[in-house]
Amino acid sequence: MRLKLFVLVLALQLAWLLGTVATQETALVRGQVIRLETQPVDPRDLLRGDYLVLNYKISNVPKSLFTPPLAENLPSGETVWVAVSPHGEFYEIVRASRERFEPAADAVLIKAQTSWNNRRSDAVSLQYGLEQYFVRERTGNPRGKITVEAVVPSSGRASIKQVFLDGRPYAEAMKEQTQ
Amino acid sequence: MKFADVQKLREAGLISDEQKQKIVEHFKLQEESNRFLVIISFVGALLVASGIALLIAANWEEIPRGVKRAVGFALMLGAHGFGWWLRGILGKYPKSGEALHLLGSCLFLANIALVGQIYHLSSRPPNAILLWWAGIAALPWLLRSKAQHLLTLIAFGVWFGFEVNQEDSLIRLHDECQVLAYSLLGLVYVGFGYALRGSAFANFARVTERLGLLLFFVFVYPLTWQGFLDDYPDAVTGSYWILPAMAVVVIALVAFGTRKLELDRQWRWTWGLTLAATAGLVVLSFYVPHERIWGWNNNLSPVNAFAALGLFVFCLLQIQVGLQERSAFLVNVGVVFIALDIIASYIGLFGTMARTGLMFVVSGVFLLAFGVYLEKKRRVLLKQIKTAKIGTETHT
Repeated sequence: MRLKLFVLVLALQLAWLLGTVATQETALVRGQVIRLETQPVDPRDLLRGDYLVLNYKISNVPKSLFTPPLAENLPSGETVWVAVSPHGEFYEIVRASRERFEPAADAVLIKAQTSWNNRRSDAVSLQYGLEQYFVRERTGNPRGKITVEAVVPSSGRASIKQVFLDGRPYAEAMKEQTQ
Repeated sequence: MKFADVQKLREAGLISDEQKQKIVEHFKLQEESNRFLVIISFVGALLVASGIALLIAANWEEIPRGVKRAVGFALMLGAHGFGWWLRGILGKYPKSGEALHLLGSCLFLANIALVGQIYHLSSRPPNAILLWWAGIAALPWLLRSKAQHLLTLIAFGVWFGFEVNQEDSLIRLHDECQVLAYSLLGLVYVGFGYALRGSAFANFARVTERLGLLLFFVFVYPLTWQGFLDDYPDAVTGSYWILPAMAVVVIALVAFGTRKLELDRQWRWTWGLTLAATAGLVVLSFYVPHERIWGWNNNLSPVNAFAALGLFVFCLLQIQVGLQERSAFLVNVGVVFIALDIIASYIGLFGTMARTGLMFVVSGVFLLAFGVYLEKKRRVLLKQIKTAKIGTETHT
């Protein structure tokens, strides 16, 4: 009996790990790919190592883009739905709402949350779950323009597919910079 | 008496093999080498877990993510499987098996980090620790492992620390107020330890109580520092319900658990009420005004002064409980924190360089003398415990 319960606990641990892997892999394969502009800084996570904190142009949404209009400031942790559509090379916000809505044909709907430092009066600060990009040790201080390719599955939960430094894959570009 | 001493007596021909065996059984002595090997095994497990965590953090991009995942998961399951084989099937190496289970539980956290790193997942930092704790919480009870139990207590404490510090948390407390929550968590562990006594998992009780007491002392001690929890914006804001809720949990656990203490009725009530009142006072220190209102130059807050006094009384009562429970740990910790409490109070009473300099000289001399007195007193108390223990064992 004890062995069965022990195996059950290990199976639950493994189920979470594999479930997360499956969700992320499915999103990477099936999600719609969008490209975004960023500005990085480079802290370190105790368990996951060096990473870039990515701040996107779409992280601050002007209140004027909300439909229906916002009557008051949103508290932190509130879910917000954002529609982005291509403008030149990158995707930019065309509409935001507190309720899920049907986006225009060329737009992609992303789920976001208001961030804790949401204190601006003219815009709402959002987090998409795309704010951390983990990199190889000591390669978290790049020089150049960073762009992100993200995937957005039908659930709206975006994840990072690839990061580019001056148009080249990040790891490859950083190898040259660190040599 | 140590096992090695009995061995020496046997080698000198002063006792026979039979007498040696009787002495070992009577005092329940164990070979010290076993203990050393246990420590070595657990340190080894923690080193391997830390090493793997660092290798994951180094993030070798040359290794495909499928290989990283497979290796990570296989190591975790392998550690648990090998541990089960050593303990449950082979039955010869229970401590090494326990160390491998510990490694497996640490590797679950490493795998959570690995998955988060591979897919660049951004989430609230406490959530990963909560997931880790939830994943390993059942293992101590299933494996009957004290080491796993200690790990889950630490995991819960780490999650609690992250959560209390998290900006968007329901139980968020600001700055210095966080120590109040940590000290109350210590008392929760103490009560939980008492509740475990006499249960099917009675061997988890001592480690729970000790961790709880250490947590309590370490985090309640700053309250005795002058200026701590001082009146400034945001100092005493945040969640207004978490501290009273924790105090209620402490009181419930203590009410249930103190019945199982090896104390007479009067001392069970005294110690139970002391723990409950201490929880209440810690909560109260959050709500009362924190202005400095008295002392030289009005530099002393009532919170710091009452905390110093309260800690002193708590330590004295704990020493008495330690004597009755024959616990050298309770006595030693009580004595150490009486000394620290006195140091904090002395420093708190003085302000300028001249006064502080003078105070350091006076209190240094005092502490030298007081240290000798405390050490003598501590030895007498420990001697009393040993005498009582031997008396009881001989009696039984």
